[in-house]
Amino acid sequence: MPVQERKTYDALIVGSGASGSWVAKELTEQGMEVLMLEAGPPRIPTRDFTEHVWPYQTKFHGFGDQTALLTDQPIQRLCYACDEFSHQFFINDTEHPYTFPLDKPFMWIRGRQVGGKTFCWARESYRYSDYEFKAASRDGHELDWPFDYKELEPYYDKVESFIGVSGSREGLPQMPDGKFLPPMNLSCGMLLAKEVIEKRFGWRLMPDRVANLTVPHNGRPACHYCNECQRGCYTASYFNSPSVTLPAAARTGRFTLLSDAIVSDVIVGSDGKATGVHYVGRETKVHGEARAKIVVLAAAALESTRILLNSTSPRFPQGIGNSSGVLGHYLMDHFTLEGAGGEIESLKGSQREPTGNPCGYLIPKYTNTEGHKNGNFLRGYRFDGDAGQQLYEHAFSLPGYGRGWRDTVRHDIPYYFSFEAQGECLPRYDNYVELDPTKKDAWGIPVLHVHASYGENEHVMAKAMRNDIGDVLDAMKVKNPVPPNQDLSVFGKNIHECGTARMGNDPKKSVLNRYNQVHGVKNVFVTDGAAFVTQGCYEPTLTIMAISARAAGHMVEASRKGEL
Amino acid sequence: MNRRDWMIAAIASISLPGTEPGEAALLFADAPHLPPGLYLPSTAHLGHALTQVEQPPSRSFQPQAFSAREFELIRKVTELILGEEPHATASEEAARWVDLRVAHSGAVRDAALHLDPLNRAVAVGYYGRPLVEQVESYEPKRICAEGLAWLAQKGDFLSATTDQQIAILDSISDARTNKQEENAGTRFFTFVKSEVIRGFYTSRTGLKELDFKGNGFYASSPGCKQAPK
Repeated sequence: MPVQERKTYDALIVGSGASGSWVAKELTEQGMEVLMLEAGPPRIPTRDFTEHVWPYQTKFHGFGDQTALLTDQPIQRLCYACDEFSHQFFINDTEHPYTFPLDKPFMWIRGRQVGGKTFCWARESYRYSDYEFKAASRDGHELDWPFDYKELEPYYDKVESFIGVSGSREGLPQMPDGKFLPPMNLSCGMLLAKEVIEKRFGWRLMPDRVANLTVPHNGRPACHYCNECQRGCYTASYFNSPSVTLPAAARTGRFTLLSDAIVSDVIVGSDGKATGVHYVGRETKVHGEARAKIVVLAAAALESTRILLNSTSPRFPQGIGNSSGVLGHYLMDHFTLEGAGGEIESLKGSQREPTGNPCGYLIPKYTNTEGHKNGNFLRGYRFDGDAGQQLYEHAFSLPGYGRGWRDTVRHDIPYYFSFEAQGECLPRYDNYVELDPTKKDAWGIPVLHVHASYGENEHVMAKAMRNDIGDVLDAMKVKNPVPPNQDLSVFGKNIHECGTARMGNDPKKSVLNRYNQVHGVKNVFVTDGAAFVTQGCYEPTLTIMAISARAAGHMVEASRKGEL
Repeated sequence: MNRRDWMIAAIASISLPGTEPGEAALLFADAPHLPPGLYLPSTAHLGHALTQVEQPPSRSFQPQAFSAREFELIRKVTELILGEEPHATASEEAARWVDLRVAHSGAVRDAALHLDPLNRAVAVGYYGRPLVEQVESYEPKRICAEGLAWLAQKGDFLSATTDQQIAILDSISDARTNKQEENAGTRFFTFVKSEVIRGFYTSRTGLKELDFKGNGFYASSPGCKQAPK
């Protein structure tokens, strides 16, 4: 007999990351009783956080137990943030399998814990503009979002003002300015690059806009620039949900968190309305039900879609929100050309510089914006990178040994400029996820089978990216220039997977309406990246938070009117 | 006052940007109203950041990948690579790092070779096929065994003079004049040197020597002191 939560909450939220925590905060602050179900365990700072641990304090000096990583986390280990210090924030791949055609590998990075991937995200926070929201109106490909930038702007304001985002105001229509804390400083190499690139190409180079505090903000101290954000942050100086939005929800006294509860499907009554969810205890494997008047899926794009697909019933044999056949489709993730760079000879030195900014630099998209039309492909790309002293990487290529060699490693410090490009992936029907017909995870829930690959637009865009990268390295006159990798990044590598339950005004072409409500099941919402219609070339998390806050506002209003 | 209380008092006296000097640090135990997994800002981590004590290498070390004699050879080669005096701590630690890496290398290779085909496909997509195949075929144990055998052919390396030892290493180092010639000795040197770099420059001594300024506490965003021309 499954465990039944007796109470019927006003709202039930699946997922405790960026999206779910914003919905929880907004709903509880407006007087609603909220239950949050999180699939993973709580992370305890004194046990799980490792910032300020030195490499020599770990068995493998930070390089990780490669045997364990290959055995238990063969996919997660590929993420830059999954190492000896922070692998605990990532799933065990053997418990969470997924499948795909062998010739279309998909890299799926997941963090299942209270806080989700907000422990390990790179914190880059850029607003989308109508270049993203109304892209289809410009170029005719697929759909527009069912709202424009102006409508989302107040929610961007709200989110940035609460969580704290540092950045510089640039006045660029393709990447709107926000409510910023002071920006981080550029390194000497970045300042040089800024001068060269802005003069030669007319492109703006700026510090990354990141959800790190450069000044005290809302009771949280400023960042102290240890640059180890993905190891946890005791001082709560960057945004993660356990230290920012979830405590805000908890302070209302109307927030209940049930961790280690893996939701398998939404329960729908005979009237077509959701009544709650089924879940399985992560450790106990005991089945339970939780009940609410509103169900919000914020489990991360593909997990929310997986729950919808698995929510079958006589009324919804293909899953909730799938009457159109669109559920699961239009999966997107950015692609990147990486690995380019070279040495800035003029900045080679013998004295160590202070280091620790948890961000690099960004050059926003110019292609296919006003005055920068490129007729060879749709949409566009941006650049980002870093510039700083090498620590000991140069030792590998320095011939010799002994004291003289060691002195050279210490006193001839190369200065390295890295440069990469990140491009938009067009939404395509044939990039999709479905439930694997046979394979199940460790809790008996069907896993996803992913079909994803980059298309012609991405490959043509990559040529332009490659040309630009070469031109920049030439302009910078770097020594020993390294071109970017030959191949596009593997699909999923950027961990910005979006789409599969897109919003839209037409129920025949979308899964959600303009307020993230599932077409046909008005008390079920999907507020995470699954809702995205386009992705642009910028990180999605800030936009996820803004649409979550907006959707929550609608939930409150609709609830009060008795519409849900 | 016990050690924990001393630590708390010490932490409270440190001012982080945004806190008042002397403001009591909030410890996680002081936020019982928050569900597990939620937390408030704290300076508690300064406790372990302040307790960096250098421990000398344990005397009871037993190599895992080498015999006692072989480990002596590895240590001597490491000493020469680092230009250290005999029995220096830095080279002892680096040699132990080499031993650790070699000891685990077989299991790493096995794990790589037994990857599920789907997981291997993602690794190929991420790294490229050559790098994945390199991991699957990499045999540090064999490289070291053959390299030590090559050294043995040159005589008793440990009993040789320093000049003799250096002459042997010069013939196999990456600075040798005839870079086209490769043998068990050159492959051994390449492997040991790369691991010495990893092990030494992530050690306390190595990071101190590099004057690494990271993993620290800055009151403001590090920037450029003098704009480049």
